[in-house]
Amino acid sequence: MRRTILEPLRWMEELARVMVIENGGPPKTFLQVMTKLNLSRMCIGRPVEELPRILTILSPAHHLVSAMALDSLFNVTPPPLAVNMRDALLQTLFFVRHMRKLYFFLSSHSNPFEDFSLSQRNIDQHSVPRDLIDQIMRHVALAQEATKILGGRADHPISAVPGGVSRFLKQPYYDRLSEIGRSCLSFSIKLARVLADLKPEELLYDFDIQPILSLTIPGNSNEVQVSDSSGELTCQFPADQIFEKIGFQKEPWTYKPFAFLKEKGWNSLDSEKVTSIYFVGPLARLKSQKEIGFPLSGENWKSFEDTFGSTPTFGIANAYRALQVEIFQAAGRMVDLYRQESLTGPVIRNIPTEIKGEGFAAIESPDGLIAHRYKTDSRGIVEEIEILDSATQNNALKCLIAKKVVEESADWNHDPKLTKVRIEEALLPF
Amino acid sequence: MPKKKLAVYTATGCAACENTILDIHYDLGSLTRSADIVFWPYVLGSQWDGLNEQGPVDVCFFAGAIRTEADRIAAVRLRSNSKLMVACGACAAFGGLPSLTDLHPETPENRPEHLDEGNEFLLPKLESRVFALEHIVDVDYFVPGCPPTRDFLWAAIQSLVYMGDSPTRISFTASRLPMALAESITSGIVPPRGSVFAGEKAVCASCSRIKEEKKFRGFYRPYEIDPDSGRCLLEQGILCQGLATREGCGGLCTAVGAACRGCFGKAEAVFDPGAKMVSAVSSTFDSTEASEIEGLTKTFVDLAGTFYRYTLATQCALRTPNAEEAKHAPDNS
Amino acid sequence: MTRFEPKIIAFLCNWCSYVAADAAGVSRFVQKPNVRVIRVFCSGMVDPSYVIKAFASGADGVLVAGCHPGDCHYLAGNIKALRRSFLLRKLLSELGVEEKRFRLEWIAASESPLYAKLMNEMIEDVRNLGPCMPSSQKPLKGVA
Ligand code: SF4
Ligand code: SF4
Ligand code: SF4
Ligand code: FES
Repeated sequence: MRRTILEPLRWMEELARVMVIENGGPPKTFLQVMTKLNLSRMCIGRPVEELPRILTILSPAHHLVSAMALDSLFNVTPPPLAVNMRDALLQTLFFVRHMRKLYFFLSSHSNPFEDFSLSQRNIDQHSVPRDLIDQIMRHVALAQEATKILGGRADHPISAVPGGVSRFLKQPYYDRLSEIGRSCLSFSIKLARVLADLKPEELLYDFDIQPILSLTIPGNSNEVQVSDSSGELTCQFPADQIFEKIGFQKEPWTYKPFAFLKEKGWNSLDSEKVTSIYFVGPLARLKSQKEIGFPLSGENWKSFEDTFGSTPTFGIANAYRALQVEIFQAAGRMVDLYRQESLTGPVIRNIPTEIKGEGFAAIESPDGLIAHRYKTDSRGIVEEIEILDSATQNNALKCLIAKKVVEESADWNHDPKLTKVRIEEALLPF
Repeated sequence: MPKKKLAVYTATGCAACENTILDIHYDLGSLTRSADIVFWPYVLGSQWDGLNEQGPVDVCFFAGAIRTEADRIAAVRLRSNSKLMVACGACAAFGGLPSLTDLHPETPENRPEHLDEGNEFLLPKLESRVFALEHIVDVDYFVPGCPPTRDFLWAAIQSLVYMGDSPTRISFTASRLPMALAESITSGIVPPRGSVFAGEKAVCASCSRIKEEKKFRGFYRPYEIDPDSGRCLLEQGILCQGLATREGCGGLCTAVGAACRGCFGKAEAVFDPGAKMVSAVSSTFDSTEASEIEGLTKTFVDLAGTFYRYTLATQCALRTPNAEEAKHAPDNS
Repeated sequence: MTRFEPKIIAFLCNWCSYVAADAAGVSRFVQKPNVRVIRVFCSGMVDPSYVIKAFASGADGVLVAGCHPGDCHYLAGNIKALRRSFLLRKLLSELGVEEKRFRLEWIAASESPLYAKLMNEMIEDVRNLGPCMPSSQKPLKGVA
């Protein structure tokens, strides 16, 4: 038996690596997540209103979904101003997250830190204009400034509270926000043009992935839609049933469980046809979207559609395109929501008057559908939490991608470094 | 002057600490004008073998808590390869949010399981508890916060990496730093070992809310009231830990209307944040009647999870591990 | 097995309880080896951090004793101690230090039998609880 370990993988939120085991026969590939945060042990016993601040450890979007779960637990409706402020934060998070991914992707073969003279990795076959990378950086920095204004802190926001947000914005912030919004939008238009010329499929090892289902919550609905690989809706159910519909499979080789649709039963990832696993995120959303809300003139959108075809195929390059579409959409929404009218109002929060003892919320976060459910005692002390994060839901897909790259690269063994890069680039946009 | 070599690593935590360093890089245009980042798995995919070949690293920014055997090994390796080791963020500095897991009773259902029983997949074992970096290796400097503010991380980079010779596009509030630190940064000498890149006093000192030394009769949970924007939260009956917490963020949370939860760790003069908060909070009880005070006390929930939210592993005097515990890697059982 | 001898730290007010303890010691009311007395000028001086430090350094029980309400030489130091005691006991118990290990009592200078009684009671209570080791070997109670 021979073990080959490709590690550490770049751009993963947790330490992760790929282990290939050869034992005669075809190689077996395992994507391993190397650590775990025991979230329920972190949260049980805490006053439930503290969870939005604790669970940001997963990603900033979890702060928002957690606050929404509290809205339902305390049975309060946030005022429009608060809804907008939270949404403005969420859109900004989309922008930041996706831009960071593009930054990583575009600087993958060169050196993301300009003066890095010791680099061995300067095998730059494709030249990405340096200027583009600089501009991406600048806009991430700008958008981060906006997340700080809206969320109170950049990466672990604090402003969302049960029933609303914790404070009004001050006058100078409105001007700054609209400046940021405009600048992000105009850059995202430019970015789309440049990327179309660059052709992502030529920058990376592109391939189509075996068809699996996807899960999304479209628009402002409260329905989870399950779509097949051609984008057709196969079933749907109310979002708050999600924890009944989804099971978690644990495997001995990774700390990250696999989410799957319970009614179809767990298939081992080695099976020919995997019917119960699914994925979430930008590409899933793009595929299931019938209509794309877009801040662009018809003509621009037209050229976009031409590159994509009507339903984008389930491939790596298209996943990057999905990021770009969402950067667009987010920037458009940001401009809209950053307007002073959207972010002013008489009240910022409604004070809860009861504790229902159970709270639930699900939203589309930058990386895909996420959901929280809490149970508390009558004082609002957490007794049980359930959390669906996008990493768990995409875990199966990510394993399949790693497997596919190893299987398809006959020479993976000769150049494990290249194989690693291919895997990293393929996992990044999900 | 040869360029300094830099390493960045995150053990068990989240990506926000590393992202804060990236944000500085984005904001500056480049972090690497006077330093080379030679090891950063998250961004560069750097391998451990490369670290050895590469010769000693000048400064290592280590984020994340020690939760698994792999985290421990990473800490030891980076320490032995680095001239200066910086604990970056609350997780590395005090155990952070991950150490909250140790506050909960361990029952068979919630005991962390090690899935890879036969060790076939070399999945790193979980440690018996969550450790901070300083429990495992010597730490030279601390940059607290969850995540650290850009200002202080920048101050640390400026003084340890750039030695005062840097593109200062980001400003930091030198006035918030203890004198010795501020001086060493501006004059380009290495600050005293053990320095914390943050203030010395408590958050209250820089919080913009006004204190009136009021007593009050009832406490509120943060969801129960919408506090006045100009007045001290604690005096409005909301548990705020600014009194016991090291200053530096400038009252980031209190400015937004949320109470401080102590992500910068305890202030210099505080022995134990829980003890400090007990005395601060109880001194505001407006009563001399035992039964009344007892009743008031009952309205408080989860003191330990609040007072030691980010610091359970190192600053809770009753919970700091003894040297024996920290020395032992998890056994095979 | 040898009998567990708990270590009790007693913070005693100079003006009252300390005098009582001294008298109790002379008349051998108390098993001395169990108790380490720390004389303080007022029970109000005993900051919660002293108590926590005592437990952290290996005490199995902590007694704080002061003058009866109204008798404090610094007006209301004892009331200050009283205010803190409830919240402190709660925090301690969340961290795994049982409630009986920390007591606040009023003992006047003349009340040495009371001192002896309370102290012996406490020693027995703590002996039954066993050694206090609020470190990680011990499961914590956590919740409020
Ligand atoms: S200190 Fe906070 S931001 Fe840094 S790794 Fe830990 S949880 Fe993340
Ligand atoms: S207790 Fe909190 S709100 Fe009050 S002054 Fe201090 S930091 Fe500000
Ligand atoms: S106010 Fe407190 S919790 Fe908030 S950032 Fe500052 S130190 Fe951290
Ligand atoms: S002087 Fe004895 S308690 Fe204050």
